[in-house]
Amino acid sequence: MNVIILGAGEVGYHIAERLAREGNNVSVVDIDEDRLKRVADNMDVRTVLGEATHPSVLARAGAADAELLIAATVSDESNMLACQVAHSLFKVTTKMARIREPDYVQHGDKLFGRDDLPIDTIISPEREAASSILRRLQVISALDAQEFSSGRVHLLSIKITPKSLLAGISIRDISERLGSIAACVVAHEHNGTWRVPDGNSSLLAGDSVYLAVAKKQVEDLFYHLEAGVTTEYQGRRNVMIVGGGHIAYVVASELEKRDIHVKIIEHNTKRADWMARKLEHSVVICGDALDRVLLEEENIEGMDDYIALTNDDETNILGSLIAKKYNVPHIITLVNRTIYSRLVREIGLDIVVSPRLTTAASILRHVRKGKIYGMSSLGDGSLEVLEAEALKTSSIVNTPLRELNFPKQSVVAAIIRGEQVIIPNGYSVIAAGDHVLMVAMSESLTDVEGMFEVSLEFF
Amino acid sequence: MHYRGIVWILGILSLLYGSSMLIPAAIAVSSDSGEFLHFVFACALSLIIGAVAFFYFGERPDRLSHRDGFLIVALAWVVLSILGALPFLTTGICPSVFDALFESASGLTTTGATVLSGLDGMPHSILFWRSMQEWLGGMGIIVLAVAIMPLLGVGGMQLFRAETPGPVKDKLTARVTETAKVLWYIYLIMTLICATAFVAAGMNWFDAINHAMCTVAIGGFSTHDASIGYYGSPLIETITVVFMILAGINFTLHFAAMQNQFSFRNYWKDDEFRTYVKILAFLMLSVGVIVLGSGTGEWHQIIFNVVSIATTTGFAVSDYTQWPPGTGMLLFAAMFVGACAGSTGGGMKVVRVLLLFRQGLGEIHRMIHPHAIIYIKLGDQTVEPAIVQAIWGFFVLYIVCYLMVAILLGLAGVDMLTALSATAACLTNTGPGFGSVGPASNYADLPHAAKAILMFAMVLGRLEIYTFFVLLIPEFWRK
Repeated sequence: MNVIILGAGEVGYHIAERLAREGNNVSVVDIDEDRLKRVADNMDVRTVLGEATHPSVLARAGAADAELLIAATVSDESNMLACQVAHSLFKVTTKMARIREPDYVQHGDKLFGRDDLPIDTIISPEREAASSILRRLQVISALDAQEFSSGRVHLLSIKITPKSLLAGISIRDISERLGSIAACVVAHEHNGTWRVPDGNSSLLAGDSVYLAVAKKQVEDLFYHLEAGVTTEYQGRRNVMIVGGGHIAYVVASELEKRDIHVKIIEHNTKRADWMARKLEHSVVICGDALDRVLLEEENIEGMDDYIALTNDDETNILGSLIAKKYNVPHIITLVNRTIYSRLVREIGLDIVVSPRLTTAASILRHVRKGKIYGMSSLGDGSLEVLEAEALKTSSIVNTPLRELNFPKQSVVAAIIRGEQVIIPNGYSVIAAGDHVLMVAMSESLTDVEGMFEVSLEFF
Repeated sequence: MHYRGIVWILGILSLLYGSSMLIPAAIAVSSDSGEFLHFVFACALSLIIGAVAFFYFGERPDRLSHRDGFLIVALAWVVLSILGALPFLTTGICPSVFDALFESASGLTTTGATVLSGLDGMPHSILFWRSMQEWLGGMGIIVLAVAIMPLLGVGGMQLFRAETPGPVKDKLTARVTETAKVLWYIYLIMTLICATAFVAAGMNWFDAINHAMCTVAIGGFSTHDASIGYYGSPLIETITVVFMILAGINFTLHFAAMQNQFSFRNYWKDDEFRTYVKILAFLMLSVGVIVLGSGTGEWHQIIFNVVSIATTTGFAVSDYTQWPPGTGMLLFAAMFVGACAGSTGGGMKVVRVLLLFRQGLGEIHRMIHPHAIIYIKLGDQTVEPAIVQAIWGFFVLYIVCYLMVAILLGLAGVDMLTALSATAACLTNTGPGFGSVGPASNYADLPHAAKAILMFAMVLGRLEIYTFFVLLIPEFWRK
């Protein structure tokens, strides 16, 4: 596929890297030479220097043959205009644009469309990050929680503690341990490496796993896993948010609606002032997030959750470590740089949100072709989730899973048949028309996609 | 200051006001009761004064300043009160100038305090004139509260600038006429519905129209000495209660609701409205428990009197001064809170009290979180600190005025309970108070000096203190 990416910032860079690795023809456009050089040095893509909205620049980037345009420059307006130009002059089939301003996003359904601003999909990193944080707050003891098939299937990440019900057992014995709860391990992290487990892998204390489970069994699962561990909140929940950026605003205003006490610490006086005006009940404090006196004054020990959302990775990491010292039960840390993402787990911060990664994942979700609907990444991004429809002619239907030859490092996480959710075992059968949720290593992704697409070739 | 422009506007007001006297004159003719000539005289005098001001001294103003606005508003109430007193004086219904002026000012400010007794036998034309004065006063107040005061920035009234769609200072006249038309329309419709409901409940047309005008204006004048209690009809009481509550709501809210099929949610979204309803409910409950417990009243009397006092209307169905003392204090406090801003009601207005209360809570909050940034919220809007300050200033002046007037009344020889309650009743534009000015008696027996002071208090309360006080500052008159 021919893809043009406008903007070689964090998001643009990451998407370009992923798409190039998967064998697409990618052109990256930016006005900054240094940034382009970094892109050109690290991946096999074409780079074009120039203003992203100019027709001549787009022409040089190969807009005439491009099937997909991803506008991810810093300016919303440039992104919109670029999509318009690509639409009117080059007839680019699919156009995606990053739109940050909530005012635009709010009127998205009317603003963007074939006859209006020709943008097929809006990407807003702050919103993505905020909703991923909110999901994690909802499922309290999960490290990560993702929803698929309109929320019917959850992929939950949990850490195996020494006392855990799952500690020390092999994957094939899990269903016995969980009794009536159908759950299947789709990803396993050991010593910092994520892989798709086979039946013989053992779960050790300190490992993390992703479990696929139907929505209605999520609570049962946690009840089962944590019998004896209290997760109930006494009275109203208290959340402390550090940093007053856009993500923090979205998270805080959502939490307000759920009747949760929110405290926000923001360093910048103007920004703190803005937050105090915009939010209804939250307490906005202007001060240094790493100031011990301030933190104690605001009773950090009493918090149920601590969320570090400043623009600065280091502040977030240090703040989270301080919160850990004060025994805050749940800590969410926003980390942008990939290099930190792994490090952070090693120093004991389990829940890490990376807006860049989430955004890239949501963009990639729209890039897939054929009958593939959803796309997301797990863990540190080395595992992919995809949801696809099993066609009548596909080789995977009507055969028990254990007899199928799946690509290496891939697993079926769930089968969705109408309203019904099946968490499969070896004897489950995929029927034509089912939606199949799969988890696979990035490397095997193309093969997995092939399983669903090959059938089309018969016609 | 554009004096000629101010005179021009006052001239128009006098002309309109004078013409309105033809209605009671016509009633006098039809009932053949002899006040006809007195009304015609008052009407003629008003028209002549108005015409002279309009054609001779006045000049159509191009543009009016802030300061002109203050002067016009204050003078309008004074001039019209004087003109409106003429029929009372010349017919001899009021024996002295003070009584006549008191009655007239009480009407125009929609206070409803009266010096007259024997209302049941009073000529219809006079009764109608009293009610109509209240009604016209109420009309003026709505425009004043919704359209003019926000522009003048009186005591936190800027709050409503956001709600009344897009007025710009320089376009004041155009905006006001536009807004005024809609508001008067609502006001008129409400009066007509109220009157029809009264007739349906068994009142005769004359009483129905009079009471409807006084209810919607949150005035409180009645055509009977026993007020609404005269009818002894729970249905009429209920209708009155409903319309008192409706008239106590911000008229911009009615306007907004009108555009949305009167959905209740539209009202409930409003912070001030919610507080208003909660205050009324709280008063009904607490007064109800005390009164029913002591066996001095019935539930329908409690609801009626509580709503009447809390909205600052001043109708009565029974003598609440006979209730246990605790209820007196509650009603007294309710008078001060008053109705919603932008309504015909008086008092300090619910929204101001609400914001002061929130400000107080905010200060406590600040003690717990010394580094927090705290703003006062109204609905989902942030109230600018400058507005909260203006409201504090208003509050302080209100209390100072209250004390000053009460002290002056004391000096004029009025006993303490009467002085304190009469001041409250007049400053908040309620009408009946406690002591010798309770609902069972009236203001007739107060000394003349006291009546003059209370007249001043009524206008002061009506003009939200600032509008009046600003005229007393030398700075105001400087070029």
